Amino acid sequence: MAKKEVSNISGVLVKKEKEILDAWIKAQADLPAFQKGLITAKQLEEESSRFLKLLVKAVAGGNLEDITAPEYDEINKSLADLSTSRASIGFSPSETTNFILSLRQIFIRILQKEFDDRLDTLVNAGLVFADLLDKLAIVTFEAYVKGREEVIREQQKSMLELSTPVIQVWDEILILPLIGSVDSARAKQIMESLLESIVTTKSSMVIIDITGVPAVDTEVASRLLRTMQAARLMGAESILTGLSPQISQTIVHLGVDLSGFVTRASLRDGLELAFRKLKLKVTKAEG
Amino acid sequence: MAEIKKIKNREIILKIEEEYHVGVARRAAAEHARLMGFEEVRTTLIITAVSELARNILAHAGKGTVTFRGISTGEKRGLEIIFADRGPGLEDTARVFRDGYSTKDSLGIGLSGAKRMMDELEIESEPGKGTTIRVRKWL
Repeated sequence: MAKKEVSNISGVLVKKEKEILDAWIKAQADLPAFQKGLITAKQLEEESSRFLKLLVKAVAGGNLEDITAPEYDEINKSLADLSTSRASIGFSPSETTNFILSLRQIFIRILQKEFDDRLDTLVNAGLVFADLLDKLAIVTFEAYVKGREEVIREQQKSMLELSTPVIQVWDEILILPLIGSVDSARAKQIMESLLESIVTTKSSMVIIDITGVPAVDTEVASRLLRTMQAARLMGAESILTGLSPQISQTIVHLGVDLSGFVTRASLRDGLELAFRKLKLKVTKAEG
Repeated sequence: MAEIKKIKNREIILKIEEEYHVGVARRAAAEHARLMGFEEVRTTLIITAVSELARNILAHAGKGTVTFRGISTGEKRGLEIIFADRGPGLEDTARVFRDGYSTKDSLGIGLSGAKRMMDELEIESEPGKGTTIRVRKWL
C-alpha cells in the first residue's frame, strides 16, 4: 500500500491515543477476566496505557508490518512480560490474548470516523491494523505458553522434593518409600539422600519400599540395584519390599537378577526382618 | 497367520522426546490394556514393555513416537504398540536380543525382556534410517 496511507494510519493512532485508551480500558473492564477480579482497575489502566504508548512509539516511523524490527523490541518484551505474569496469576490463554484483540474493534471504529469518506483507505487501514494486532496477539500467546511451561517445571521440581523422604523408623533402620516413577533426576536424588542419611543416622539396615512404583523396567531395576550396592559399600544392608505379584512376575520376565539382595512382599515383613537381624523383639506390654 | 486388521477408532500416537513422555506412554498403555480387558498381571507386563521400549527411543534416538492400536484377526483381539524413531538404527537386529548386550551403560536385557513380556515382537531397522519395533499382546 502507498506510503502516505501508512503514515495516515499511524498518524491517527498518535492523534487519537487518549480516545483509544479510554475506549479500550472500558472494553477490557467488561471482559470476564477483569470481572473475576484477577487484576485491579488501576493495574488495567497502567498496563493498557503503557502498552498503547509503546505501540504509538513503534508505529510512529510508519512500520506497521514487521514486528521483528528494532522499533518493536520494547513492545514485544513488554507484551511477553505481561503474558507471563498474567499466566502466573491465573489468566486463561484467551483472556490473555484478549488484551490485544479487544483493541481491534476500537481502532477500527476510530478509523471509520476518520476515513468515512474514503472507503478504500478505510479498508486498507483496517486490514493493515488487524494484521498488526494479530501478530502481537501471537507474541502474547507464545509468551503465555512459555510462562505455563515455567509453572510446570517449578511444579515438577516441588514434586521431586516431596516424593523421596528417607525416614528413620528405629535406631539403625531407615525406610525409603518410593512413590511414582523413578526417573534419572529422582534416582540421583534418592541415592544421594539415602547415602547421606546412612552416615548421619549410623544405620545398618535400609528398607526400600517400591509399593508405589508403577513399573519396574530395566532402567528402574538397574537404579535400584546401584542404590543397594552403594548402600552395601557404606556398610548398610538393603531389604527391597513392596513387590506385588505383578511386579515380581515382570522382574522374572525381564530377567533382572535380584538374587544378591533380600526381598520381601510387604513393608511389614521387611521391617520384621530388620528387627530380627538387629536382634530386636517387639512384644506386647504387660498388663 | 490370519490377516491382522485394525479396530476402528482405537489408535493414538504419542511423542517421546523427554523423560516424562515415558510416563505418559506408560499410563496410556495401562489405560489401553485395561480398556481392552487385559487382567492386572498382563497389564503390568505391557506397561513395563512400553516403559522399556520408550526409554530405548530416548536413549538411542533422542526422539520418536509410540502408537497404540487395537487389532483383530477375526478370531482374536489384541493390542499392538509400535515404537518408531529416525535414530541411528541397528547393524545387526539379532544381536540386540542377546541378554547382556548393551551399547549404553545399562543392564542390556531390555529388548529381550520386552520380547519375553509380549506375545510378539518384530523389529525393522536400517543403519542411519531409524528403527521400528512392533509388539503385540493377544487377549
